[in-house]
Amino acid sequence: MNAQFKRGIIELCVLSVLVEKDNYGYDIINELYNHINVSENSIYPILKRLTDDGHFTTYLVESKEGAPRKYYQMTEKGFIYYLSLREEWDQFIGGVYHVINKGGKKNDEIYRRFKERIEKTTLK
Amino acid sequence: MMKFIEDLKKELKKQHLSDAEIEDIIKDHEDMMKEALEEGHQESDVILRFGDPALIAKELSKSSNISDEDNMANDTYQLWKSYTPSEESFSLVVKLVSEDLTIQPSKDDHIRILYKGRENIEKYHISYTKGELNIETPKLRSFSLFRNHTNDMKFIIEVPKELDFKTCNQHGVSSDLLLHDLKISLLTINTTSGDCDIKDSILTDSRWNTVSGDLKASRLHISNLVVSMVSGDLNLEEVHIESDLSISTVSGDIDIKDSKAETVNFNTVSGDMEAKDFYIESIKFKSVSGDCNIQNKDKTPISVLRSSSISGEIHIKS
Repeated sequence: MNAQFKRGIIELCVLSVLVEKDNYGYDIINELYNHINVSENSIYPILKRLTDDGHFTTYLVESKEGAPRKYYQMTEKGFIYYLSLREEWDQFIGGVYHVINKGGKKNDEIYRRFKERIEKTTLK
Repeated sequence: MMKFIEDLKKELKKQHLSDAEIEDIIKDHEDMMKEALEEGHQESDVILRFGDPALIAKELSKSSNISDEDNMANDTYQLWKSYTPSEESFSLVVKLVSEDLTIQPSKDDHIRILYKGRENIEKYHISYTKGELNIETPKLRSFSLFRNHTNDMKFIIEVPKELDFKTCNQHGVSSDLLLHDLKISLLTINTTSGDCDIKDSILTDSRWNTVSGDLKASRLHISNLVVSMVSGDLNLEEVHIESDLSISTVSGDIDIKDSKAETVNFNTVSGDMEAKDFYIESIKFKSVSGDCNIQNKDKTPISVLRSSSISGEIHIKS
């Protein structure tokens, strides 16, 4: 998949993680890593850019083991940005779904129709 | 030191990042690395999660200087379309997402649309038929998920003063609106986070709805005004409302100066109303914790038709 495309999706995923609760860097990365293949994109730069742009703020929390953890918290600006990306995504994915599922979701039926058509044309 | 951190430092130094920024980034990664190792992950496995140091550095330098050139380009408005009015009456329907909009009088008898920004103007749905001008953000415009955020557009719509401006219907998500020096029968504004500034105009009916956008109105003459907000603030200055003003808000504050209305209906959860020289005949006030303060120089009595509140207070001083 094209890296630029995927970056947009990861941005939306980072926003979606932080819309629910404040979280620290390692846990955010882990959460995404467990569900999607992020190897070609690094999450940290996205997190940092969203923070620099005022979509998140950070604060420190003492942890049991050693260094305090840096927590990220979504701002109101971040929430609005999340809403707009989410809406675009829904619209986009809705369109994609519409196109790819026009012939239904059953692979055997799609294959049957495909085969019929191929055979018809080769007979001619 | 761990190889990953070492590599990242090297890569960051290749990019044009300040020492402070590099230090900050390294610190974040050291912390994250520590967490990962504590959880029992191998260093080699952790790199899969954090990404390749060279790639991280490249992305970080990209994000730290989204070039100013991009923002500087197209700094003047360009004319997109000009129409000769086909009818005596005029209506405007605007459906935008993030584009800022100015609506103002035209210097002559032409309707004009001007724009600036890097988005492809041809993709916008813009039409003028039967006296109605429509302007709409393309549904499948270049996806902001996949683009720089500097492409944003700004529009100016100019309307001749001679036209009978019947309705103006504006929908926006984060679009800011500026409207001035116009006479409009019905002005409807619906926006999520866009700010609105309405001034020097005459309106018959007006309905303004925002979520977090702020509303500012000054030097207006309005027959009826209905405002509904969530957390945005409302600011009225020299606004003359002939009959009813109805405001409902959750946490937005209302600030009113030198204004007039016949009846006011103010509904709030925690937003306060602070008014100075606000001459009204009667008020209905409903609140949870929001206060309502009206302070007038002239001693014109204001009758409180209904007031219910849990902890908010209503003070009318004249």
